Amino acid sequence: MRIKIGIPRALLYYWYGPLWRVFLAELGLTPVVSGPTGKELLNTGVKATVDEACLPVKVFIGHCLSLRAQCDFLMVPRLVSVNKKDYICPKFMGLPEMTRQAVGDRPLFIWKSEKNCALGSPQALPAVLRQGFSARRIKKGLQKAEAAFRTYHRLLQEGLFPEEAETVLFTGAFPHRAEKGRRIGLIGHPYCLYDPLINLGTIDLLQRYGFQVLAPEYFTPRQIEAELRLLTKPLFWTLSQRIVGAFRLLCKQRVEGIIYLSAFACGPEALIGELVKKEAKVAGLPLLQLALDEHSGEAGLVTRIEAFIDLLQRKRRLSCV
Amino acid sequence: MEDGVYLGVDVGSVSTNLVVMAPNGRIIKKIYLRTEGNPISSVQKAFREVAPEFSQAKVLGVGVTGSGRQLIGAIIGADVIKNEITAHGVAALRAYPQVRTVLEIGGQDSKIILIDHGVAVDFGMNTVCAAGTGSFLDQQAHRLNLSIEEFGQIALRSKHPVRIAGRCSVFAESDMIHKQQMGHSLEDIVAGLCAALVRNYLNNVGKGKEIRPPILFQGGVAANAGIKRAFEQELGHPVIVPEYYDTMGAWGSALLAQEEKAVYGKTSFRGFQLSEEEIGVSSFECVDCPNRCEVVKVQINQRPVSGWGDRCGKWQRINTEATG
Repeated sequence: MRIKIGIPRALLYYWYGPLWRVFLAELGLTPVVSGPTGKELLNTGVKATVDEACLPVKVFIGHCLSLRAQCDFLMVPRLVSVNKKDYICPKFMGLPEMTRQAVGDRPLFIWKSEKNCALGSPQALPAVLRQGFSARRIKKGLQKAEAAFRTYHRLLQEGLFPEEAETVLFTGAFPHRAEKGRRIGLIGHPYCLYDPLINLGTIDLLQRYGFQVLAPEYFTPRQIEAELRLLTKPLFWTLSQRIVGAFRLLCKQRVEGIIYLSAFACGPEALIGELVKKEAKVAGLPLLQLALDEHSGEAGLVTRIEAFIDLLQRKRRLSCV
Repeated sequence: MEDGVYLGVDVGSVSTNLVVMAPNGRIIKKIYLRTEGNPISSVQKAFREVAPEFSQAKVLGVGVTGSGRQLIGAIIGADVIKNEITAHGVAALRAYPQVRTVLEIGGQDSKIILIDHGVAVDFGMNTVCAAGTGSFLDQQAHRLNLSIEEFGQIALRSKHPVRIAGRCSVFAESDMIHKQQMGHSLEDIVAGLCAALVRNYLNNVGKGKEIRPPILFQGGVAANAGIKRAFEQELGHPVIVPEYYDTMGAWGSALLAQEEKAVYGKTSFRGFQLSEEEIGVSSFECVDCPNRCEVVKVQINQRPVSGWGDRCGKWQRINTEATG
């Protein structure tokens, strides 16, 4: 029987998911990815997680719990640093411990970032699984996985969203894309932007209003890095860097406005929220900042987004006259 | 009235307002009712009040806003269902075209709208906390055994307002009790409360926003002279309370309906007789998938007219089936 490895569809799955899936499959293991976040899953996650954690972490725990019965191992990433001299949020460092508390009986398979690299080296594999495979096989699996990772990100840079890019990657079917229309920027951590239950379907809503939505994943890491060189002091957190860099690129792309979805209680975002706000003012670009948490009622969020879109629309209409 | 009228309805958490507007933008009639937790019956009540006068008038368009806009919009057949921010901004610009800042404090939410050259450029809205809103004042007035109407006048008599923590309504309350027990006068406490509310509003809703005159103050709380004075002291500019300060949202939605009418031409208004019809609303948790959406269904005379709350769109479909 093939060993089943559960992968929670949460947090940095939206960034690294295909890498993990392909690697495990190449080794002859069966990756089992949890389904989209549902309300039940959210509720169980909220109940099982410490209070202070942000909503995305609670959702992650919910995904772990939903996978518990379907897998032999649960894969939990421990990403500390994926680039030289900058770090992933401390909640990610402690993710395996938090998960162990909540999940209890299921053995964890911890995917570690090594030497400033999330893509991994043979050491990335936990000892318990490493024993069964030759170093050569692991190396080959990682190569395949990295290739899939690059393809996936190229698709995101072409404007696809993670779900679509994954479909392309694993089934080959190319999604139908709407005509390119008016453009709006959407920034935030990938796990806030691409989980429709966390953000109550913001991307969908914007698309229904006829907008082409540009997210940080639309830009290459190199483009983002170039923007950050202009900062007076480097940003400590990798994820914050992506948001600030993408924000600056979006300003240059002449989007009509930018929506920033942040997770309530996210420390790093409290800082960059201010930075982004200042820069938006200087650029004269409309910016809407929204904090997401588990009891954010749909009405409040939708009201603000609608009002923001109205603001953009009325502005445009008047500038046309 | 021969030219027809536009209706604007603002279904808020505390009050339900209706305005009847002439095509030239003038308000012919306005009705201000307490919602009392039942938006449908309060709209029916409002309809009953205007029906004798306007049942023969041609309704050209209907706009709905406020937190109950979706429910009421579906029931009365609105042409425009718009959020409160847009509606208030549109009305403020019509009342004072030169306005630069709109302060709006309603029952459950408060907002600020910044306007530049006749276009809304930025807005802010209170977050989950209700400490800077009308219902907070309502609650505290009740605690002090005052009617909300006399509240403002009492505040104006104060010479030395006491300092009250306005960050949180729970803390404000204990602070007020403390000040009462210490022997401070009622007017100083009430004035202190007004100042606390204004401080909280400016720190929360107006955080980081540049407030430039002319400043308009609207929403139900604008009736409170104490709050108005506290704003003027804090901002250092005169604050204007427009004539229809308490029905600006309804007026704005009527103006939006008129704008929309210029584009589409026909109203889908169901008529004033709705006030006598049987309107049923039920909600349930759909168990067809793990999303567990809370779905709302609306029926008029036992016929389903609308549904929403679902992520998949299954229940929303009756909207289009009913209206064709």
